[in-house]
Amino acid sequence: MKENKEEITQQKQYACWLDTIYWITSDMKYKLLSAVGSVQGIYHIEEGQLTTIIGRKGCERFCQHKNRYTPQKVWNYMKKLGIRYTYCEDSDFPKKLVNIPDPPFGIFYKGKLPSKGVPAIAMIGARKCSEYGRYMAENFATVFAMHGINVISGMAQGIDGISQKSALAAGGNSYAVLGCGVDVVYPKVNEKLYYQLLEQGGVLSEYPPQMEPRPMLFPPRNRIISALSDVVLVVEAREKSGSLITVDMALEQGKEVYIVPGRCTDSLSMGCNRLLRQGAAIATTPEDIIEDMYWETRLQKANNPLEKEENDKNDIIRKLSSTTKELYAILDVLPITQDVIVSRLRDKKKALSIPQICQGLVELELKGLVVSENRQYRKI
Amino acid sequence: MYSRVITGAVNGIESMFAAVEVDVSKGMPGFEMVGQLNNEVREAKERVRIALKNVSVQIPPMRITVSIFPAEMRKEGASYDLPIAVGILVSLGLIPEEGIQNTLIIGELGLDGEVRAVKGVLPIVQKAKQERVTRCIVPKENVKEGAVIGGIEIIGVRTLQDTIEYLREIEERKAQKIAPAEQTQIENLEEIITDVDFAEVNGQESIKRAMEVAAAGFHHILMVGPPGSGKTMIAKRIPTILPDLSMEESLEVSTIYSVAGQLDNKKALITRRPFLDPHHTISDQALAGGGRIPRPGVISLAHRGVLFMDELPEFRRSTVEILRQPLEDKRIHIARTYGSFVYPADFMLVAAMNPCPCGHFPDRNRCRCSESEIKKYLSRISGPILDRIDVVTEAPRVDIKQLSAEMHNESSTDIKRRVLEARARQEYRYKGTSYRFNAELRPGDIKRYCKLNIKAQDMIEEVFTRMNLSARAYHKIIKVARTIADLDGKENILIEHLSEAICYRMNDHKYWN
Repeated sequence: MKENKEEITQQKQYACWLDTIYWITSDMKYKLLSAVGSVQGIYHIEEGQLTTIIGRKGCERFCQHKNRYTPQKVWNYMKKLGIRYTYCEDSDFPKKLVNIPDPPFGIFYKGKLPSKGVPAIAMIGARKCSEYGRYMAENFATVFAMHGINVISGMAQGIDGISQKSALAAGGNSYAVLGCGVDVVYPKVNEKLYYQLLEQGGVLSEYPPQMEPRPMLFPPRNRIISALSDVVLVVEAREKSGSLITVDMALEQGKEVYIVPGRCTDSLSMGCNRLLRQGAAIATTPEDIIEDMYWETRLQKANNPLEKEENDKNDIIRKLSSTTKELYAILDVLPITQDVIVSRLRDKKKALSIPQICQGLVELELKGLVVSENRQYRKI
Repeated sequence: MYSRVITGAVNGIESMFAAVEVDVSKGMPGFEMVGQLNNEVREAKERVRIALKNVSVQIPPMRITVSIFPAEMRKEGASYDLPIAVGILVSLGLIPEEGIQNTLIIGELGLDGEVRAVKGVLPIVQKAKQERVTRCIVPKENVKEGAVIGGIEIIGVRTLQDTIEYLREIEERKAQKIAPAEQTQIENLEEIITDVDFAEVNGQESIKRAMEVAAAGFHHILMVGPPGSGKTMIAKRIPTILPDLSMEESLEVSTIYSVAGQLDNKKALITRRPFLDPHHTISDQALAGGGRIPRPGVISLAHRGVLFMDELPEFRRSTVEILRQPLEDKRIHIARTYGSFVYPADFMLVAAMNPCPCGHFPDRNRCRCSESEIKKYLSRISGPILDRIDVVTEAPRVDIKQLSAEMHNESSTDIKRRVLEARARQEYRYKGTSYRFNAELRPGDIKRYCKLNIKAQDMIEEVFTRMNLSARAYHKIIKVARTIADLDGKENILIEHLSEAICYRMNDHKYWN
């Protein structure tokens, strides 16, 4: 038994060594494996056979890598960086990644791998999202997290990062699939999120450690995002968006695709609305998806922070003065400027002076009901 | 024979006395000029000689020596032409010596004997009055400028011939020749008709209110908003709500304009608060002042008025950094080869900018600037400059409904009335101190002048911790709250004043803090 375990570890080391050669595609690696039979065998393969399978150039890279590193050295290095590895023959290799077109050969990861049997949803969308997108992403991710659903995304700016942050903040698990090495934090603005993900989930990548982010690396990683999930939810996407690639891949993999609809005039919703026209499912609330999927998840009533928050909020609102209440009613979850507030009040035939509005806004802000950003105000 | 003519010179914006001494004696014929003279002054020799010839004065073949003192001061400009010519004429006995007693003479000469306008007449006349000179002979074109100062006789001359004839007359008949100019009345100079008014601005309530607050306390203000949101339109209307210049201030400002050569008979005195809007390609020197022979820059011309910097991030960073010292010290110190000068520069900075390179952030449906682009754009304005800006306001995009609506908007006069009241309150409060406006308050004195009532005190403490304010931001809020309380006519700062001030804080922590 013990021998067997050592054997497995050794095989893993060879697989890891093979997978750190970025130039050889996963497709080639699978071919090698089926031709040779074991990863250890691949390491000791003859050059002639190698050339016939992966070509002359691939062979050169292979030998170069072989001359420079031993599997042991690569393994130790990974250990030092705290990076773990799993590959297709491993028992903990996610099953969801096996039966897809162009499956990855192995996965480098930090933190954990997504647990089996837990429903997972991919939340993707525009990097430069609107306030509407931000709000929807926050809302959906929070509810998913509270239902114990894993949120999977790409840790990018905008919808990706916002969804993951919200899921983590609600106490859920979230996993990021990166388009670079798992030890490379990209984008830098999400550094905090990255470390939080290590605590409450994991960071995954099929690319070897220290791989710098490059544009061509991102589309392939999208297939892993969709593969790891049961449902792909697009929150905001322009007509030409990377999210649409993920959707294509999800459809190829036979996953459900849900769309958060937007206004027809918003360029940030053009991609979403087009998908809806093409027949994608519509998601107006997170519960829509949960019901459709027959996920047997339940909100834990006893410690439902959402409900408690809602109650607290209602309590505070009840105690507000009538002027402030009126002001609060005018505000929206999308940020608006003071002048919009003035004109909305005017439409309602209520006149508050600027000082009165300011007073109300600051009161609401201090009570935690309103946030101000870029001199605009929105409800929480 | 020896003669001495009083004249004046400007050094920076300080004016000083100078005297032209002329000696004509027998000897080798020649024309010598001494006294640290600049090229233009040296050239006076030719101008004077030919101008004298052209008004039919024959210079006998004698040795003429001209000395201008104080010798240690560098002399520049052509304003010594007329005093030199007069000095020669006195030395030759063609003008009685009594004629130039207690008389200051200044002017440039043309070859045909025409007396041309010079710069700096106003401060020189002012100096002359202090030095008990009774009469100033100035170019006709500078008469009104000189006559701003009362109690001194200002004679405007058009030609050298005029000057000679005037000085030859006996005292009693002089006034018949050229009457002294009447003192320039400020009312006569109101030729600027304000063609703009806040009543024309539809909507934009918040930004108009912010302007009122800024104007009342002389706070520097920054407007952030998308293109076409009326930032420039509103900035142009600020002078209409600022209080008029007092006589003292007016003289101060006029002096700067006089030195810069921007006064003439049509505009002899600056009575309106200046409004300057330099283009963002402005050079450092044009903004700060300077040059080989230093001249006041745009910031000095905006003294006691408004300096409007549209598209602030488009200015070169080094150019904007120049504002640091003036914003702090209210003057600018310029050192050049020709000496160092101090120009006053106490202006209200009104800056406008877009929130991102394309101008539409945070409307992500229109703005596709990346976070790093936005950050880079905003970081073109350095922290020290932002630190000096008390009021930040949003200029929102105006919708068509607002533009076309028939609205009753407050006129500039109404707003100005409130601003004046607030200013009066500040004047009363700061009597006997060096302060004039709330914006100037130093942190040490804030406690003394800005009293918060108990509720407001509790609130600022909560705000301070909840909103994570820096000490500087805290002081800014209190100063602005003080102004708002002044506008409201309250002695103590109440919650509503504080709240409004909080709304004007800079809350783009993400990029700027």
